Amino acid sequence: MRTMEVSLFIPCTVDVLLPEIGVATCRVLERLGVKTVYHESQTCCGQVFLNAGHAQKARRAACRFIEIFSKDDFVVSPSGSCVHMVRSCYPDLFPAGSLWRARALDLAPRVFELSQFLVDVMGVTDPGGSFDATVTYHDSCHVLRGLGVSRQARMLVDAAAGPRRVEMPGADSCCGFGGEFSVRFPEISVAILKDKVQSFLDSRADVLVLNEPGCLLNIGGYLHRHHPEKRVMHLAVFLDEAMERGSGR
Amino acid sequence: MSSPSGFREIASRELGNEYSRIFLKLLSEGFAILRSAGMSTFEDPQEALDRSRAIRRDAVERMPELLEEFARAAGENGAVVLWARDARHACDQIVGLARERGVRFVAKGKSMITEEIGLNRALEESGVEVFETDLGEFVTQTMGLPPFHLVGPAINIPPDKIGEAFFAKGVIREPDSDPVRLGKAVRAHLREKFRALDMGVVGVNMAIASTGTLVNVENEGNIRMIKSSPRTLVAVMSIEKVVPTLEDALHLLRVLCRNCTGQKMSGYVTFDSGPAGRGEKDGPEELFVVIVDNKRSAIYQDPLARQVLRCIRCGACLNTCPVYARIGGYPYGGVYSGPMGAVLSPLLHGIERTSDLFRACTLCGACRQVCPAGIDHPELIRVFRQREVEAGAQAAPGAQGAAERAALGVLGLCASHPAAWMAAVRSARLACAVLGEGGYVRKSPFGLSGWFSSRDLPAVAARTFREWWKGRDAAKGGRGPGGGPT
Amino acid sequence: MNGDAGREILELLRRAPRAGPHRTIQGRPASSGVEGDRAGMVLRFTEEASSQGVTVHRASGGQELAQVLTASVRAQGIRRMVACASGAVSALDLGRWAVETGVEVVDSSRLGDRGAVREAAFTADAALTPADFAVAESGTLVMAFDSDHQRLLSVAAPAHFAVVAIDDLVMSYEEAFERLLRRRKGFAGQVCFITGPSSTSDIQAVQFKGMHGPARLEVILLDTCERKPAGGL
Repeated sequence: MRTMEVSLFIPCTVDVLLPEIGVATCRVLERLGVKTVYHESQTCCGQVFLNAGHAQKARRAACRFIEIFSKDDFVVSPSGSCVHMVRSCYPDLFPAGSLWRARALDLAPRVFELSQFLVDVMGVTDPGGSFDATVTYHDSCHVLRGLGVSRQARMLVDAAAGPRRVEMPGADSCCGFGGEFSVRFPEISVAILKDKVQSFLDSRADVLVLNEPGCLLNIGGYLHRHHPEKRVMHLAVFLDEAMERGSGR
Repeated sequence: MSSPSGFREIASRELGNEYSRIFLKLLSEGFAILRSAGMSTFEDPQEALDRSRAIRRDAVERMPELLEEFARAAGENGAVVLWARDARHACDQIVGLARERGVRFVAKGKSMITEEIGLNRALEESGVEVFETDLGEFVTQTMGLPPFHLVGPAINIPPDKIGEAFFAKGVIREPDSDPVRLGKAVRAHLREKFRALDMGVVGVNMAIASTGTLVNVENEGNIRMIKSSPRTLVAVMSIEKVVPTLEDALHLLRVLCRNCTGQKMSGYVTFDSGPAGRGEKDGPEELFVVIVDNKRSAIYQDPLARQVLRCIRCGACLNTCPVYARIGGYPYGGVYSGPMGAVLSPLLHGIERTSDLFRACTLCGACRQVCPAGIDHPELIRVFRQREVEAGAQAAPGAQGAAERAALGVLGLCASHPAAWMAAVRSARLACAVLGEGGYVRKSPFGLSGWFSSRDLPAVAARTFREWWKGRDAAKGGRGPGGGPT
Repeated sequence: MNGDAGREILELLRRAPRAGPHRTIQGRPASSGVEGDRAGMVLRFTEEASSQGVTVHRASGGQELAQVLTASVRAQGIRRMVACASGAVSALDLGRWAVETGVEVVDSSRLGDRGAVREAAFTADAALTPADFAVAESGTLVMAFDSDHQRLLSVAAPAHFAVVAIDDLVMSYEEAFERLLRRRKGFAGQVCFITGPSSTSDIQAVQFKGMHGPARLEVILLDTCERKPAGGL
């Protein structure tokens, strides 16, 4: 089989605050025999600008992104919302019939969230390895409703955790992050977040797995302060740890 | 009518209101269960949704032709069609009808458009007493409260408070706090009004263009009373209520009821084609249909914003919204709350006056997913934010707004210049080294106090991904950078 | 003056840029349930209506209808009833039934004007009316009001007995409207769907029946085979 080459799309939050997620993404792909490349000129996809209403800044970020990634066959990211930005929002940033819109549309179908890439493109549902803890999965809004990805991540978690994956009530409801919303309306944001954390606690799982750095900062930031014994893990880190331990189940 | 101000204050108050919280939880969880059970009774739920969305899109795109067709057909049925440019124009005409007939009071069915145009006040100012007859509306009217929820406008109000208000207004003779007895007291109170009613006012759920038929949906029977007992009936509709055909209306009814309360069909649905027929001894002798524009033809000029006119007011978006589910309807400061209000009120009252409505949204997309009318709320909300920014309006008041704009400015610079990015990372890392402990930052002097009120944030990593990659490139087989700073 | 406002509003709307015809979905919606033979529809109607708190009876002919009604009015202590004797109710010999049961029956065809209809409807313990159709998909009654059938009866009385001919039991609303339009050559005035008794949950989400309309709804599906000559159409 021809070696697949994947271009890593490491969002700014991951680069700076959560680099272990980027490293794990890279390692999981490489363990599965994929060759990885990383364009060092990449910065930010522009999602934060678009959501805040700064379309001009978002457009500049989009042009940069398209220039940098346009030659790649597969672009893979550990952030569902950033992938959603590229796949769904980029084309609409440019007027109909424009060259940039055409380029955005051309790139969109080659950009994938990690679990989407593993399951839908590579056909890998069991990357090997095992994870010895009770685990639950949080459906991030942009992963679930933006990309339509949910089953894929659960399959991958199931492969490692087996019957120790439990569902929490309201797994598909928002965690209250919403980017600038969490800073602008902290009271409301935290009220939503508390309910999400409560449903995690009620599920009795030790680990909350998700594939969106924004939710991870939000839920993780709250857990770190109030429930330090609980753990929130990005799917990439989860898979990397499971594979590291080997399939000793 | 009223513009949303004080969103933050009211939201903050409601977050601390245990009663509101209990009912919001019940509404959002209960309605979600009812809705999904209701929708699952469709042979093909997705087909049903696709169909209702197509019907609404089509109806809005063809609105002028359909309205004309409806007005003609309604006229042929014997109804009198009155057009109203705005709230004032609509109220004046309805007040005129009441005065010409010398009616002392009118009974009303629950209707958002009459609330939007402030009809009750206009009638009362000209000496016509108004009785809201939907139980929830009766309660909010008696207590002078805004609606809490589209379907249950008073569902959050403690029954002892309702009892006190009823007692004070003479609806009950002795204090009571039993929900059923309170409801029955309203029944008895309003029965006398229905029996002696000369003029009734109702809203309209749908207006069928091909037949000139008005459709109303309800569960209590108050609208049936109002459409049966008085000689004069006034039906008030905003221009977007029009649908092409009876078949379209029937399908929308199936979806509306299931999506709203989970019912296959609401208790009572009435289809009125003109006033009472020849020889009928009850039902209206005269039927007036007031078609209200009130800024909608202006909204219609914008092909993107136009989609808000597809809304059929099922309320599913409220029940599924994580923000509404925590703060309820009061902060939205008007008739329309939740995602429905967040997309409609800015167009009715102006973007500059409604910033909090479209900023207080996580863009989670749950509303869009359940919307039977095919409205893309997150898209509209992003567009409102853009227009606000473009208009140079103050996104958020005071220092917080300034800090946010500055932060976005810096981020914008960094995003397009990798060198600036790396420089920013280095200074942030230094700041974290001062502020952080154990790899986490617990507070910040840079205006992110909202975040840190209940959450920590990982410190800037000792080695960013980019640095790790470079190092690995240099000496193949490098391991990860590890979590926090060393 | 008002015509001007209408023209102005329509003119503004027409001036807006538009995307053109948008209908992408054609044909009938996927049916909301099994296409039923009569037995299937009776079962479905009964199930759906019962789930809304409706009591559903079946009667073959006028005699059984009288028995069903007698049992119900006795059980509920109904003393005064307003009745619309047209349609499927005509299978019942109303005068004889009133004498036999001792229920005071007001025949709505004798009510002269709005005031009389109000008086009768608001003071009766129950209303007896025909329904034009029963729709199985949701346990819904369809009634078209006219000079024989007054609107207030079935909403103002605290209990409502509705009689519907079994031949008029249909699967969907569309079918009910099609047949209604054929039967009446178009419809004027009001058509009403009734699905269950009046109800509300507006205070504290506590549900109760009989908010403004009837607290009780009983439907009698009437077999009309006896009206048809054997072997005929």
